[in-house]
Amino acid sequence: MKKNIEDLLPPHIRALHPYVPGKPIEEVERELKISAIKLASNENPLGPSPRAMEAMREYVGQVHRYPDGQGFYLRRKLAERFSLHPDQVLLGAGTTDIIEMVAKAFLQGQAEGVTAEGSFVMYYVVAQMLGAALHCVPLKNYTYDVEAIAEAITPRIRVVFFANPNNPTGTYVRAREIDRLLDRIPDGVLLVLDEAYAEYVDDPEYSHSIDYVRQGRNVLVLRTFSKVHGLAGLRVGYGLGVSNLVNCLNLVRGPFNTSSIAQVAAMAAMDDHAHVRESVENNRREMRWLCEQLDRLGVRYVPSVTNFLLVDTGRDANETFQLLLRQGVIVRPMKENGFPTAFRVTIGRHDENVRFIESLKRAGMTAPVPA
Amino acid sequence: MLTRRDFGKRAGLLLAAASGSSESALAQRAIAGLGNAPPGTIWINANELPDGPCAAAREAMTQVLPETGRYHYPEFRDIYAAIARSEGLDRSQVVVGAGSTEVLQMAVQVLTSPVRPLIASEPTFEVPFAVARALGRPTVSVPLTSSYAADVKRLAEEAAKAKGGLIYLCNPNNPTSSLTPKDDIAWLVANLPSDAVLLLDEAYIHFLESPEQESGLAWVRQEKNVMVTRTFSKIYGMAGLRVGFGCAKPALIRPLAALAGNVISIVSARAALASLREAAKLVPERRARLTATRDTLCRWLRQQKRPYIEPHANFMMIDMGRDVRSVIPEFLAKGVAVGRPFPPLDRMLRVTIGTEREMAEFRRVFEQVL
Ligand SMILES: Cc1ncc(COP(=O)(O)O)c(C=O)c1O
Ligand SMILES: Cc1ncc(COP(=O)(O)O)c(C=O)c1O
Repeated sequence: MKKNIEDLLPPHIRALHPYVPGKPIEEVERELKISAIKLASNENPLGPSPRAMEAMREYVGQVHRYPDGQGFYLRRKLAERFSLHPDQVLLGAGTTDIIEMVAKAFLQGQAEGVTAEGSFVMYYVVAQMLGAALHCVPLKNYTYDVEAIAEAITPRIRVVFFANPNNPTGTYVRAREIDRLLDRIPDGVLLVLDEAYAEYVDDPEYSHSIDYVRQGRNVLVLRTFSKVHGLAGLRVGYGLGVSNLVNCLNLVRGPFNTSSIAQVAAMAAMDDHAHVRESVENNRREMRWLCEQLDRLGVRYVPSVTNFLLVDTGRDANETFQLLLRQGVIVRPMKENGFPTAFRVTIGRHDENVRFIESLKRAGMTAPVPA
Repeated sequence: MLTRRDFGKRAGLLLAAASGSSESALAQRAIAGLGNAPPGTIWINANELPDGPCAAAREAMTQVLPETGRYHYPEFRDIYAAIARSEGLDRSQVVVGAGSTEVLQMAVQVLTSPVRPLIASEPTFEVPFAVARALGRPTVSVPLTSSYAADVKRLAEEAAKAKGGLIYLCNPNNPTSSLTPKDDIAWLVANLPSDAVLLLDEAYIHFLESPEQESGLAWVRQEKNVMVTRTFSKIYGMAGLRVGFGCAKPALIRPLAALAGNVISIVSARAALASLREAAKLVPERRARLTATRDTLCRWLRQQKRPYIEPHANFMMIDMGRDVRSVIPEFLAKGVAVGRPFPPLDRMLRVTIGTEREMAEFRRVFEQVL
């Protein structure tokens, strides 16, 4: 009997649906005939690092050359920054790419993973893509529950995905709790510490994740150029781990996964200390202002150490999203992520945050302030 | 269950494959300070086009820079649709990757299996073989014919024997720059076993006089079991930006698209779009420039009585009369980086066609090396 080509595919691949992204800002503007602001994707409201832009402008004439597939210079620069060896640095087309590499390398066959419910969606997407089992333990008070994660580690578990701070809740756990978790994780289980928002966290006790790498622990630290450096559109992020681990992951990495121009931009951004400082300061100042406003309105939110806030209006998230969208403010509803009455808003520039608060008021999303 | 050690073993192959396959391995080594390329070395080793992106693409890149702080996921719908339209296809018939390398990887991953081999000519572009071996998939290699074309009869036989599989055919072929006649490929499509898929790599198709006639896209439109890959790395001069794509009927594209992470940078995507808008003018102009430079080299080689394989792309193979392993370092020492060895064609040197000035320098060094 003649078979169709698609019959030859594994069922988990056949079951996949291509990702349907949200509305582009231009489309919203066209439909509403007003200018829109996008506070939906945790991008840097100050835009890309100016030094990175300058470096890219100068590099335009050289893009006919293949990139350095090993990313020699960028890896060396990152290694110097963290006092590691270049062999302990892995480059990805965004950290999303590295999350995918981890899953491809370690979640094959019967291997399983653990993460939290209500965390970064890519963990779930990638596991499904590979048909791998991923156990999700509930958050506790919007925060990764270290105890529950440790208890979920059965002999089949190979990988723990731990977003610290967590997206979309903006919460984190301190280094000493991660220490305790690591002590309970058996050999042969990889802890992926996703620190995409590390640069925003203002707490000396937040993390000493790089020490784990230096100590040869089974940890992969993820960082990205998409957030504080403002290079989300270029797709470049990195992982830090022992060289054996990095070697393994390099095997499943596409040989030329990062473009040459992204490598050039990333290196320039690393030296753009002024841009990083301004980005962090804007975030801190505006986060404080936003929280004050929300407090005044009596709107609930989860206190956050990142560049975004999970806001719970107590009403259907998708409806709130629509009400804000109609006023040209794009946020991310979190109904599908396990928070039926919450949305996530990225901290913008002051003018954007003012507009967000005004729109929230106009949408009637305020609770009576208790007397 | 795949143990860590098994994984390491397989992965080792993949790593070897990845580094060997990298067209710019030599360049990388030199950049990294590991090679001994003298300053001012001419890089005609990686089949890149010295012209770089066209002016409109450069302009588009510069303009998008202030927007690189954003994720551009939604825009990719339109970008991918535009790429599809440029080939007269629907969005559902196209998958875009970080270079055609990524598309080839996905195709091998999805369309071969432990019982469905990868079948391809030898020598050919090595990424598909490398990926298949790394995944532990069976591979079958079939020698090129005496005119360096793919032996389509034997490729079909092997697929029939295996009751399916993926046939990879690179046209024009890398590293030989030779062409498989359209009629031969038509025969292969007509005689494809029912569970086999033909993967036509058209990275260099634009360098042919009439790419549209030679292309396999017509079979894609007829919903045959054919996938065609294309790239922006060659005639469009943007290998560093990593954009390539695959074309096939939706049933073949869908599983690949599901695997494709969104890895294209917005700078790359905008540059690709701008190039497509210029393609009608750009492609023939660049082809003419390239062909003229290549013809000059061929003429010179004939005067030198130096045999070569008749070229059809932006590179060619020259018979050096001795093992190129000893020739390549001599060229490099004199400031000319040429292609690596491609066994079993041990005496053949692969040279990328650079600028007029670069090729004049190549000829000068050639005389010294001989
Ligand atoms: C927790 C977390 N990890 C990783 C990422 C991915 O960032 P990128 O792929 O742009 O590096 C994000 C982005 O939103 C995130 O929130
Ligand atoms: C035949 C062939 N296919 C595909 C590629 C990969 O090109 P890219 O990944 O840059 O699109 C190359 C690169 O040299 C090639 O020679």
